[in-house]
Amino acid sequence: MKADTHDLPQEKEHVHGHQTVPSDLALRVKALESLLVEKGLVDLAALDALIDTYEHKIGPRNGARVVARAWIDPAYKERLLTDASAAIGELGYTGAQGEHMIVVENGPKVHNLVVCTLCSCYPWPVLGLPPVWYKSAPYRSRAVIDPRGVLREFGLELPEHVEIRVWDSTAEVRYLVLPERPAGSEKLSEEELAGLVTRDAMIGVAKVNLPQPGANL
Amino acid sequence: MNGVHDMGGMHGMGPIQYERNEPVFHEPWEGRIFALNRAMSAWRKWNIDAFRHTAELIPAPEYLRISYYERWLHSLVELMIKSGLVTRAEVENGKPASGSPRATPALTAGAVPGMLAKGKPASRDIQAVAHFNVGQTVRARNIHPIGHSDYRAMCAASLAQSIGTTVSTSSRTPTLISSAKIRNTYTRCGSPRGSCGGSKPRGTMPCISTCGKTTLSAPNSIRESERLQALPRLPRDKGEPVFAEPWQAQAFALAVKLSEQGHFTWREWAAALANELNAARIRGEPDDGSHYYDHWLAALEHLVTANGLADSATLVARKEAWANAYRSTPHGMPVKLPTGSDG
Repeated sequence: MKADTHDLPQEKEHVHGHQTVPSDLALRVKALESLLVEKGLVDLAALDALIDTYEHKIGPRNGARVVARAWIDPAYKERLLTDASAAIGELGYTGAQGEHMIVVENGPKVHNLVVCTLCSCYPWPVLGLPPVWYKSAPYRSRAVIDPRGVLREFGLELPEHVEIRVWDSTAEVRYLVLPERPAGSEKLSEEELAGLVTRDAMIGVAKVNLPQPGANL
Repeated sequence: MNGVHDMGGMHGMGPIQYERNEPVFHEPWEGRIFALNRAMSAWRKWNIDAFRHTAELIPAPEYLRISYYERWLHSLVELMIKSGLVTRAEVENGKPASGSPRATPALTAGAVPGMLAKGKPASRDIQAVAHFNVGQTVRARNIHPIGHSDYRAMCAASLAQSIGTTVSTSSRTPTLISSAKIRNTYTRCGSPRGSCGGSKPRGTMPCISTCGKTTLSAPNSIRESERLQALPRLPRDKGEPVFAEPWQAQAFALAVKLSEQGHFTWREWAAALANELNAARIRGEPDDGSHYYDHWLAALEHLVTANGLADSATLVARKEAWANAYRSTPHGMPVKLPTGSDG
């Protein structure tokens, strides 16, 4: 595999049964990875474990469970709003890029929106890795100067009397929005409630809605 | 630094590109560079600030052109080279230098869950005094630090209401890998999170102010001639400093005096001044010495506030008090501050 990188792509086109040559970036990363493995600086299995963790184990489902618990358990919600890191830790979600959490609650008069204008700070233990739009210039630049317009782009039109609070994350402090529990969800179980909570609602660019009648959950 | 990364409030970046059912990684190499970064961070040669700053130093057009994980690739390579884990030649050749020793990985697969669950808390058991109360109106300092900082340029000089107190890290030199290895090399202090963006902001913007350390170093016994030598661009006549206006001499004397009293070393002073001069050069201002003392004053205000001798609100209030004193004093009379004037 390594020898392949020394062949020019156009030469390879003439070889039958060859594999598609990866993009320049993919090759650069591959070369770097093999160098670091060869130098004994990284362990291949550790890389695989890291990727698997963030692709399959840590993601917005964690945050959704936190939100659902807060909706059904007022004492938990109280703890969540007072010491978010500890309350989230109760459900087993702790650690890297979520060491210092603040949960901000949406209500009829206040809507919270989370951004990282400087880079991509995001609460990994509860939401996983951020989506591309969250890390991109349009969202980072406008969330703080035109939050209402940004929300409109996400299809969320808020009445003028609703105050929008924008939270700019830092390397240390990460935010999670506690969305409003949708009306009509009183009979749903904690698990069913968690199933309604989306990543976007926990960033603050959406509300949590009950599924439309007839829609597949 | 007021880099392109500090995007809050900019216009013209286009519409948000939303992707439904977005995968965690769009291509396998993104996952690999993500994992390589996490695994290499276990060597503890740099921290998140150094990592972010390395990306912030990518020239603006390039920063905007390349993708997020390309920036990660860039930062990882630069930091590994800076910290001596690899050489640039090794990166370019894709092979270890002949005869280089083989290391044992700092992170094994078995240690991954523990490392992620533990994280790296930034909290420190340090006594710190909050400078402001919740609800108090504060003004964000009008500073534009050159190094890495969580200060947002959009907040500079704007009025805000403190909505809480937190403890923030700061460093004037996070680019130094050696000092960025562990977060507690940074001095922490109580600081306000305020809502910025005008006196009646619709959206509230928590800002974390950048606080420096209160350093009371031993008075330096550096001699006058050596002191001046450390300031190569100082306007001089026959070796002596020259001043175009009285305030320049006052500012000069203040820096000398504060340094003699040990509030900062002359080396720190020279570095602070060099920062201001470089910033001016980067802004494209003429380098003819005509604004030398403007930069001197900016450096002085920076060090005085960074070292906790006074906060910028006090300096602003005092400036206003002097302006009022001038306005209310008849011609020919000595201008005095009213007694008990705040600040």
